[in-house]
Amino acid sequence: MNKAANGAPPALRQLVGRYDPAAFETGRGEARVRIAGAGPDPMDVVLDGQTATLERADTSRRPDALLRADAETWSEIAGDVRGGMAAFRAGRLSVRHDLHLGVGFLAATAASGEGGLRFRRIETSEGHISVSEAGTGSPVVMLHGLGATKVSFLPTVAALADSHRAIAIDLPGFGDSTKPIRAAYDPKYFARAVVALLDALGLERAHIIGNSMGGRVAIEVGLRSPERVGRLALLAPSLAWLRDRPWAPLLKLVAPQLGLIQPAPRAAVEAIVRRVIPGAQEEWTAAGIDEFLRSYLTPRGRAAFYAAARNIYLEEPYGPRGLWTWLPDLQPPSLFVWGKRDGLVPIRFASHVRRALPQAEHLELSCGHVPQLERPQQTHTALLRFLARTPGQIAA
Amino acid sequence: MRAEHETIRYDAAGLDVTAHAWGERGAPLALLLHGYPDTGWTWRHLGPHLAARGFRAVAPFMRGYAPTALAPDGGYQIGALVRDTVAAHEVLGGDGRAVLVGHDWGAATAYATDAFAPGLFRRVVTLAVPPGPVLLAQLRSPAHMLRNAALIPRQLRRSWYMGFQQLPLSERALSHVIPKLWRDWSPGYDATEDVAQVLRALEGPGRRTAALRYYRALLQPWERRAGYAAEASHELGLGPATTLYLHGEDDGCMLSELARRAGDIVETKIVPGVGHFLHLEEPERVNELIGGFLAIEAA
Repeated sequence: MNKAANGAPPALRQLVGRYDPAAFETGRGEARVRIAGAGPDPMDVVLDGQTATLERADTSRRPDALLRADAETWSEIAGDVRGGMAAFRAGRLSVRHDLHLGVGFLAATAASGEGGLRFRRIETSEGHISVSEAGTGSPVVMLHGLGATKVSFLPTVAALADSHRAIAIDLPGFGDSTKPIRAAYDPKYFARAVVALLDALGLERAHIIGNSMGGRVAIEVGLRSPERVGRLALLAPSLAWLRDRPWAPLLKLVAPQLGLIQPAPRAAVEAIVRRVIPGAQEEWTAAGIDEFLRSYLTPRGRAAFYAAARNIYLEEPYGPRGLWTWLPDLQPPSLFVWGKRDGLVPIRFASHVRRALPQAEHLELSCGHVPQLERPQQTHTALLRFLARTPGQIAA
Repeated sequence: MRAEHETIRYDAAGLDVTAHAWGERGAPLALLLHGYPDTGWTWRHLGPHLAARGFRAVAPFMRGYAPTALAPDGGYQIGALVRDTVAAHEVLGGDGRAVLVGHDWGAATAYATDAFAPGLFRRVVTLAVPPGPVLLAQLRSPAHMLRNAALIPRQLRRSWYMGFQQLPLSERALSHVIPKLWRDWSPGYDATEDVAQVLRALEGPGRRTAALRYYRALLQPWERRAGYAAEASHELGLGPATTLYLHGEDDGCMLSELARRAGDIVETKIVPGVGHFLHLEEPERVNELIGGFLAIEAA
C-alpha cells in the first residue's frame, strides 16, 4: 500500500489490500489498472508482479485495463469473496481494454482460497495455455470462438462455478496463449492442444463447451478422444459449409502468414464485430472488441486469426475426412445451442445436425452468434441442466 | 471388451485351418481376416464386440500362419486367399446374413472375394488397404500421378519393405523387420503382445517364407501357382457389397492422403489419431464404427 492511497475510498483500499499475486500472473512487467466510479476521482492500481499499489490516476497515461462500476457496486465487490463475480454477471461492472488484466486483478483480490476465480498460465506439451477458472467439482473446459478469448466465457465461468470446476481457456493463437507461427490452426491442432491441457491439468475427462470455432474444436476432441470427453455443449458451432465455396481455390493460394504484415484499421474491425453480435449488451460488445484487438493487433495473433478463419472456410463437408461424414459417429452426448439471428452460422444447420446426429439435443434462442453473452440466463440454465445429467457425468 | 475365444479347426477345401471364434454357433457369420505381419489374435477386441452384437465371429489364421497349415500347393496369391474365404463361408454355415471384415492383406482378400463371389457376404468392412481399382488408378493415370506428385516419394520411402521382402534371404531379418513395421505403421502403439504372437506363428519351418510369399506372388510371376484362374481375374477387383473402408490418419504403411482417394468409389473414413493397426490402437472407437455399420438390424 502506498501513502498516496490515503485519500482513496475505503472499499478500494480493502480490495487492494487483499491482492494476492499468487492468484494472478499478469504475464508482463508493470501494469496499470484504472478504477472508475468508486469515488469522485479515478484511481490507478499499479501491479509489478509482486505488489499492487494504489495511487491517484495518472490521466496522461492510458491504463492497460479500465474497471468501471458505481460506488455501491465497488463496496459490494470489496466485500464479495468471489471477486465481484456477481456484479460482473449482472453487468454492473464493466471491464475495458485488457480484460485478462482487469478481471485477473479482480480475481487476485477475491480473498478466497480454493474455488475462487484465478488466472493461470499452464505449461502443456503444445506450449503455454492461459486459463481462467473458478469453482470445484466436475471439470468443464470452455473454448472461445474465432477472434475471441476466454473472456467471452467469464460470465459462464461465474455461472457454472457453484457446481463445477469451470475452466475457460485461450486457444493457442489467441489471447494470452502461445502463438506458434507455423501451427496449422485447424481443428486437429486445436484438439491436440485441448487434450494436452487436460493432460497438464491431470484431468482424465472433462465436459467441453465451445462457441463458434470453439464448438468445432469441441466436436473434434469428441471425435478424436471420446474417452476424454464427458458431455459436449456447442454454442453456435461453426460447421463445414455445405454450399459451394467460391473463394476456396483462391484462398488456398493465400498464406495466412500475410497477416504478419497487414494493417488493421480499428474502426472497420469494430463495425464487423458489431454486425456479428447484434444482441450483445453494449459493454460486452466493447469489451469483446478490446479483447479481439489486443490479439489481432499483434502480427502473430493476426496470422493465427487468418489461418483459423481460412480453415473454417476451407473445411471439407463430405468425403473420407469430412466433418459431415464423421458427425454421425460423435459419441459424447451433445447439446447444440443455435442463435435464430446468427449471421455466421445459419440456423438451418440445425436440421442437418438433426439428420446426422439424431440423438443430439437442441436449443434455439433468439440471439446472434454468441449465445452465452447475448442470452446468458437461458444459455447457462440450459448448460447446467444438460451437464447435470447422466450418463457422461464426471467424478470431481 | 476382451472375452475368451474358443479355438476351432476346419477344413477349407483341403487347407487345415485353425481359428479363434466368439459368439453362438448358428448366429450370422462374421469372418475376420488378418493381414501381415499379424495373426488371428489381432481380432481379440472386435471378435467379442461382434459376438455381443449377435454375430458368430470367426478369425482364422491365414494360410501359412501357424497353427493353420502351410499351403499344400505353395500358393499364396490373392486368388488362393479368396478360395480359403469362400470355403470358410461354406464350412462355417454362412448364409446371406454373413459379413466380412479384413485388415491389410485381409482387406485385399475381402475386396477380391466380394468381386469373385458377389452376394456371399452382405456387407464388407476393410481396414488399411484401399480397393484395388483405386490403387491402380493412382499408378496408371497421369492426372492422378500429377496430383500425387508430392505424395509419391513419401509413400515410396514407406514401401521399402515391399522390395526388401522380395529378396530370397529376407526371412532371416524378419525378427527385426516385424517389430520395426509395427513401430512405423502404428506410431506410439505398444505392440509387444502382437509381435510375440506373429513371431510364434511364423516359428516353424517354411512359415516365414510363407508369409513373404504373399508379397512375392504379387510381383514375381513364378511364385504364383496354377489353378486359381477364376479367382485371379478378380484379384484387384471390387465387388457390389455395401462396403465401409477405414484407414488410420497416421498410418505409416500407406499415407492416408492417398488412401482417401478411395472416397470416390466406396464409403471411406479416415479415422483421426490412429495408424495402421487402428482396431488395436483404439478398439472401442473402431469397434463402434465397424459394429454400427454391420449391425444385424440394418439387414
